[in-house]
Formats: sequence, structure tokens, C-alpha cells
Amino acid sequence: MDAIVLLRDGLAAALTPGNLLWALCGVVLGTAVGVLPGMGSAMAVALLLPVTFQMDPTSAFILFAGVYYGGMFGGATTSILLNTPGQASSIATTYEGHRMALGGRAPQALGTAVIGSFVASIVGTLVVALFAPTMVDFALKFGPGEYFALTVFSFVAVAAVVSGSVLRGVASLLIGIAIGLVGIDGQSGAPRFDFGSAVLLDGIDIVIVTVGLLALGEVLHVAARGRNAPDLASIRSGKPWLKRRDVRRSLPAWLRGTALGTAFGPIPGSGAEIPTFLSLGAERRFAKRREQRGGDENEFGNGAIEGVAGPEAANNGSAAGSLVPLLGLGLPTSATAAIMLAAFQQYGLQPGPVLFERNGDLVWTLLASLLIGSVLLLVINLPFAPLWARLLKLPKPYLYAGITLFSVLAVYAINASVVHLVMLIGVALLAFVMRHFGVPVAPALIGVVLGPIAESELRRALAASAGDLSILVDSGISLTLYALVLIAACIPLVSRVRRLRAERRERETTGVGTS
Amino acid sequence: MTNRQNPAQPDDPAETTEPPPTAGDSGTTEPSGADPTPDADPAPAPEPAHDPETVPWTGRTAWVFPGLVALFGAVAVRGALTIEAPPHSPPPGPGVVPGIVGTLLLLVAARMALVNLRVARRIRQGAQVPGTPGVDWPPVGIIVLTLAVHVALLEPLGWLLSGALLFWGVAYAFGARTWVRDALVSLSMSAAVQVGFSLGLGLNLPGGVLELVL
Amino acid sequence: MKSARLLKRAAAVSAAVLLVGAAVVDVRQKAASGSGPGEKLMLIAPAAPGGGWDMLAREMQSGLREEDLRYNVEVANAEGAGGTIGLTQNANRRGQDNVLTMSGLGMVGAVESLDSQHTMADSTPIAQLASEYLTVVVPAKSPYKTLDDLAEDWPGKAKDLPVAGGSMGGVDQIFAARVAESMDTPPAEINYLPYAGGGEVLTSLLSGTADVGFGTLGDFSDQLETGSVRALGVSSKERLDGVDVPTMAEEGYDVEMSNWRGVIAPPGLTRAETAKLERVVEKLRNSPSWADTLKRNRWTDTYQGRAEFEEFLKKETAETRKTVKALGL
Repeated sequence: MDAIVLLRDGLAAALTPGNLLWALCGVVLGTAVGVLPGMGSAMAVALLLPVTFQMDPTSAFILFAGVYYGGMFGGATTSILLNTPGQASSIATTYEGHRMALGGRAPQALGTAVIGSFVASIVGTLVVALFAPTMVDFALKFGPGEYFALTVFSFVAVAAVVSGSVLRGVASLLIGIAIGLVGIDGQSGAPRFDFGSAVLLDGIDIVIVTVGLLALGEVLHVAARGRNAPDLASIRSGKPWLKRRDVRRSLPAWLRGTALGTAFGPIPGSGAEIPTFLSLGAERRFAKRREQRGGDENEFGNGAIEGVAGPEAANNGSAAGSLVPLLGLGLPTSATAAIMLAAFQQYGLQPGPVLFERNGDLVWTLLASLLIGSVLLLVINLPFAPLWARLLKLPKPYLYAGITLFSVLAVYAINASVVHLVMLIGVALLAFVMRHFGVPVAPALIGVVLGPIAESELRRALAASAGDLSILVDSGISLTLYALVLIAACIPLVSRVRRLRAERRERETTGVGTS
Repeated sequence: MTNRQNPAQPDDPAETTEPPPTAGDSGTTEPSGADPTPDADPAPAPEPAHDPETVPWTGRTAWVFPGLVALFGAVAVRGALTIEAPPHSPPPGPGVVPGIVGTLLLLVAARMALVNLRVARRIRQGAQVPGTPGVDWPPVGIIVLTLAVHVALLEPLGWLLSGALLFWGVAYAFGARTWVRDALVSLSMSAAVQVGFSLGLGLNLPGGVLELVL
Repeated sequence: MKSARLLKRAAAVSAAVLLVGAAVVDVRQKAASGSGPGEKLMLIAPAAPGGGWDMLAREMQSGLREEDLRYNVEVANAEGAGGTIGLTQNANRRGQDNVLTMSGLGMVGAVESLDSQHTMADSTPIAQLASEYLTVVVPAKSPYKTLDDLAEDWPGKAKDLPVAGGSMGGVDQIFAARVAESMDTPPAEINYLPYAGGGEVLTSLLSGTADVGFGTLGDFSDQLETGSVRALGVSSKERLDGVDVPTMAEEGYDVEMSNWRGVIAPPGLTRAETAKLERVVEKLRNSPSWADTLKRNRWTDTYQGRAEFEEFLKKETAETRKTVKALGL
């Protein structure tokens, strides 16, 4: 157990009062920036990067770790309170989280999110510290064929969770994929759907889509509903603390979410979307089964705490897991990771297979910083959870005006381009139409994020095999994923048939139709 | 594919369209109209009543979203046919995926049209169907207008002023009418962003006309 | 009660005034255009934060500050279209003498392959700063031991030999095309798999998707050290210090190129303005902090002053145009 000794040394090096102060700054700043719509941890880290150039590496890492985790928690905060997730990875949290907030249980939702993030970060970081080399080997088993299978799998995983109506879910997903097609085609270099504009050559930035679909779309939707919209300020919240029952129900969800996140995190390109949605789906199924067995009642649809605990843990678990390709291969798997990579290089830390030998001290300090960062996140944000929940008490006009202001800022910050703002208005109007007609927007965002990956991996696979389709199914990983897809597709079919049968039986016994 | 636009003839698409073969599922839990023996109340058993995602579309606005989907599909298919692949690019060229996505979009649009027609028929037969809620247009209009004005004025006027204007406009749309306080809050919020992000974090925000005046 | 409310209101108003005041000060400071070290300088990085040109810009920013050359340095990211978005922004600032835009071979390639509206001619070249050299790598278990092995195989099975590198029209692909040409393989026929970055090219090689990789030496240096990939040749003119790999010329393949980076300024500057910008860059280049920067980023110092850089740029543009045409882009 060499690693544990080394990690202890790292902790010893990192634990100075000065560093703790930096961690504190990081967590507070990260949370503050993360709370703003469209500004996830990526934006927070990017903005703080130049500030840290003057600091010594250890302090800088600690600051980053704080910002990173703080940013992720901040994203969860808006998802829960306002139904405006700041990034794709916190969408899964909104489903039950916002319903909890509407039911007056915002502090509990935030509390379980903080603890879930904490558990997942600690476990995830430890797993990375101990098993990084093995995990790198696993990640290297993924060729383009496997990646394509993974994206197909995630499309189905998302569809299975959000399908109030499968037809509308599919429409939304396809619209997202279509939006993702805009720009220069990476595989051939041909411009597509640029409509003659140079700005569109790079496609529609993911921040624009996220902010437009999730934040501004919600603002317009709430405005359109006028007095029918739920009045957030009038929600009376009960006791702000987690009850024992909440903890008991969250605990398995935290652990399952952590496991899912840590498992998917190291796979380059899979992102946090897949494990968060998988976790939400799994929790929903578990709750249903528990109720059938005569256990606690299934609260999904009305704000189930497991539906927040699981995805949030999965989100942080996958963030920790994504350190594996980042440190082991120098391969950034998310926007945040790309910026962190640049930051590492500033300190002469060149990620790669010999990193642990060459920069051992720095790596262990970094991992120790991540642990400290997550502890501080817990210490700072758990008491503040009820305070954040008071955000809802702000006057509604100011609340939504603030969301709009920061949405615009987030998009302008990408490239200081007014054209991006025009696109933002377009996307927001699309989101408004979708929301108004009851079309879920989450699949569209997943389509924008994963569609281009699916396409390029598919074409890359076919190019590498010179057009031989068997490359798509010639590995155990791909076959397993496709098998899971088939099972996932069959479950709703079977349950629907069962339900129809049960309904018919009921109708026959009572002899009364409902019309 | 047969229905590029909203089909006008009610019975035509019924036989030609199949549910889209996407991702292994085939339109299974579709809310209304798909059932051969629909219940009058279309809220299926496990869903809460009137879940907005399962409320069927009625009236003339029912065609807005299918039309939008069809438009996306048409553009994608048109793109697929017109994108010029550079010579020598490997087999699945840049047009293939847009073609598939576009075709699927058109199929989905056709399917939605079909559902709409079924719902319309049931309404004619006297069934009670919950409709989509109405839109409170004035606030939506004000917000979109404010956004447009903000975008137009951002660089000439500078962030500080146009940001305040944006904040105030949206707050007004949401019913804020305490003029002095609104103006003060708007200016402070815009200034807070300028201080926090430009002064604090080095983000470039346009100074606009203020740069000349000050 | 009443006085408490009044007090609260007064506090709110004064807080607002303070905030607005601070913001106004910030606007004014940003607009300030003093002279000497207080003069404002804007560095346009045609990349996202963390990208290659962004690193260069941030290094210049901290170098200029450390060496007391300029304090008011601002980095503006203008990501997109292989750098041509940044080039366009540079061109649109015609006549502004306080702007430097990061540039390099990637931008020259993108201008050619994308038929960009603005070309390098719409700018004022200032200086070349640094270079990184390129290399051909294969996985450790590959049958190719030398460039000759590859040259023997490649022409016959160009379509069936997947090779990996950076994005379409980028430096890596230009390099791959020149290597292919030197091996009598038509560049348009090679089965080139474009990836977003060096790390991904590496994964592609290690996972067995691609057989040969093209990229910057720095992208592969760790794996070269551990032996999981093997370098067949380096594109430098002479052998590099600490790199135990033969140059391509040594092995009889006439490919000599580098991924160079430099700075350009907006078009329409007077001779005096151009000279002043060049002086600042030159001072920075001669400073100890810049030496440290080069070492840290493993860049090779290939500094060229304005006149030399302008000639070089012309030559590079012409050559790149030829390669891009041969690639059929």
C-alpha cells in the first residue's frame, strides 16, 4: 500500500493554514460562479487560471480543486432551486430536485446533493489514486467502434429516463443532433449548414445551447405562464435539516451513484451525462421495486430524494474518474479537464504515463488537494444549504432578470461575439416552443453533446476498417453495450404490455369503461 | 418522407408512416391516439394527471411543433444532398449522417401529424381532451425585445448601461413596477458583473460609449 | 421602526453607488491609453483557453508584466475555424497599433483549406517566436522499425493503413501529407483519421485504431520515454538535444518543417508603429523569463525579426498552399 503512504505525505504537504485558506476561497468562488446559469466549473476554472500563475503549485492545485468541486455543486443548486441547470451534467438532478424544491424541501435536496458530492469525490479520488494504471488500460480498450456503441447506449439511457412521450423525446433528441451537425465536419473538413456564415463554421457552441435551452428557455416559459407559474417565493420550507429517513434513503443512492460515476468517468469522451442519467433511471426503478415489496413509498414524480442523491454522486464520481485519462494519458475529457491540463502544464506537470514517477510529489499533492477540496465543500456548503434555498425568496422579477443577465454574460464570455448572442436568442426561442408544447429539452442537449461524438466515432471506425461494418461489433465491450441497449428497449415494452393486460382485466371485472 | 409539410389530407399518411426506428424503441409509450382503444382521459395510469409532456396538442397551434420538426428535417435532408464532400474523403461522407437525421426528423413529424389528426377526430367525437395552456404573450414579447435591444446596444453603449437595461426590461416583464428601486437594482447588478468579472477576473466587457465620456 | 427602514434604504443606496462607482473606474481603467509601460496591449489568442495559441498569449502576458514592459495586457480569446476567426478579428482592427495576434503554421493551413475571407496578407507580420518539431510515431508492437519500412508499405496500401493526427487541414495533416509525398504516396489517398488533439492521437495508436501517428514531439514525449510508442523520424534540420531520434533528412526523406508560432499585428500600421511593436516583442524574447517559458513549454527558440519573418511567412504560405492542394482540401 505504497499509495496510501504517498497520499498521506501529499496530505501533509497540502495541509497548511495558508492552503486551507486558498481552498476556502476556491470553494466559495467556485460555488458562486457555478450558481450563475451557464457558468459551470469550466468557466470558473478558466477565469481563475491566470490569477493562479503567480502562486506556488500546491496552493494553485488546492484553489483549483475547490473551484472545481464548488462549481459543480453550484450547478446543482440552480438545477434544484430554479430548474435551470448550468451544464448538461446537472440536468438529471433537476427532475426530482426541482420538484423537491417546489414541495418545500429545497434544503434537503441541497443537503443530499452536497453529501452525495462529498462521498463521491472522496471515493472517486481514492479509487483514482489507487487504481489509475489499471483504469488507463481499460480506457485504452475503447476504439471508435466501442465509443459509438457507448453513445448509442447513452441515447437509449437518456430516452428511457425522460420519456413522458417517446415520440417527443425522440424529436427532441433528433433536433439536438441536427443542431450538432452545424459547422465544419471534423472527418472530411467539409463545411455543413454554415449558411454562408464564418461564425457558424465552428458550430453552435455548447454553452449557447445549454444556456439557451435550459436557462433562457425556462425564463421565457415562466414568463409565458404568467400567474399559472408556481410562485417560488411563497413556498414554505420546513425544517432545513436532513431527517434520518432522508439519510437512510439517500445512502444507497449515494453509493450507487458513486459507483456509476467512477466507472464511466475514466472512459474518455463519455462525460458525466451518461452516469447521471443512468443513476436517475436506476434509482427510479429501485424505488418502484421497493414500493412493490411493501417498503417506503415511491416518491418519484413528486420529489424523491434518491433522484437527487444518485445523480449528484454520479456527477462528482465521474469528475474524479475523468482524472484518470487526464493524468494517465494527458487526455482531457471535458472542457474543465482541458483547462486543468493547461494549468498543470504551467507548473511543469506533464500528464502522461510517467507522471507518477517523474512528478510524484505534485500528483500526490494534487490528489490530496482534491480530498481537501471536497471536505471543505462539505463543511462550507452543508450549513449554507438552507441559506442558498433562500435564493427562492428573492422577488421574482429580479430573480429572472438576474438569470437572463448572467445567461447573456456567459455566452458573451465565450468569444466576446455579438453573433453568439443572436444565436442564443434563437436557441432560447426554440426552447420556449419546445417547453410550451411539452417537449422535453434534455434529450436535445444530450443530442448536441453526444451527437457529434457518435457521428465522428462511427465514421472514424468505418474509415479505419476501410468500410468494413464488422468493426462496430467486433469486441466484447461493444457487444455488451448493444445487449444492454436491447434490454433497456425491451423493459418498457414488456411493462407496457403488462399494464395494458392488467387494465383490460380490470375493465372486464368491473365492467365499466371510463368514457 | 411522404409528408414534407403538414399533411392536409387526413387519411393519407395513416398507412405509409411507421414509428421511427430510432435507438431500438418504437413509439411505445406514446400518450394518446396510439392506443387502439383510447381512454377518454389521456393521462396514463402511472403519470401524474396533465403531465405537460403527455398532454396532446389541439387546435391550430397543434401544427406548430410538427411543422418545426419537419422544417429541421427538410433543411437536414437538403443539406445532405448538397454538401460537397472533398474528393478522396473516406466512404461515409459528410452528407450521410445529416441525411439519416433529416429523414428521421421527417418521419417523426409525420408521426406527430398522425397523432394530431387522431386527437382532432376524438375531439370531434366529443371526447374531453386537456389542451396546451395559453401563452401570456406580453411578457414573452417584452423579454425577447429586450434581449434584441441589448444585443444591438451592447457594443455601442457598453456593458454597464446595456446590461442594466436588460435587467430592467426582464424585471419589468415579470411585473416589477417600483421604478426607482428597479433602476437602482438594475444598475447595481450590471455594475456588480462588471466589477466581479472584468475587474476581478479579467473578462473583456465592452466599455462602449462610457470609454469616450469618462 | 421608521428610522431602521430609512437606514436600510440608505445602506442599499450607498452600496449601489459604490458598486457603480467601482464599475465606472474599471471601464475607465480598461479604456486607459497611457504611454510607456502603462500603455494598453491586447493579445488575441485564436484559440480556446488552454489551447496552443492561448498558452502563447498567456505566457507573453505574464512575461511582459514580469519584465515591466507592459502592465495593461489583455488576452482576448477568439476561438474558431483553425484560427481564421482570430485572423479576421485582427484584420478588422486595421490601423490599431496596440494589438498582437498569435499566429502559426496552423493558421496558414486553415486559411488555405477553408478559403478564408482574410489571408495572412491582411496582417502585419511582427516576429516568429518559437517552434515545435514534428514526428512520425508507431506503437511499440508495430512492424515498422524505420522510415524505410513505412515507405515500402505505404504507397501500396494507402487506403488500408489508417494514420492518425490532428484536425483536418491542421499542422499534423500537412506534415503527414509531406511525409507521404516523400514516400511517393499521393497525399490525397492516405487514410487520415483526424482527432481533436495529441492525447487522442496517442489513444488511437495505443488502442490499435491507427497504425501510424503524426504530431508534435511534445505530444508523445512521455510515451517515447516509456517505450509504448516509437518515433521513426523528426522533422528538424539537425538532431535535437536530448531526443535520440534521427531526423527525416538523415534517413533520406526530404521533409523539414516545424510547427512555428509567431505574432502578427493588424494591417495598415505605419513603419514606426510596426517597429515599436517589434521592439517590445524583441525585448521580451531576450528576457530571462522568456528563456524560462521556452524551457517549461519545451519550445525551440526560432526567433525571427520582422523582415526575416515576413519572407518566411511568404515561403510557408506558398508551400502550404501546394500541400493543401495535394491533399484535395
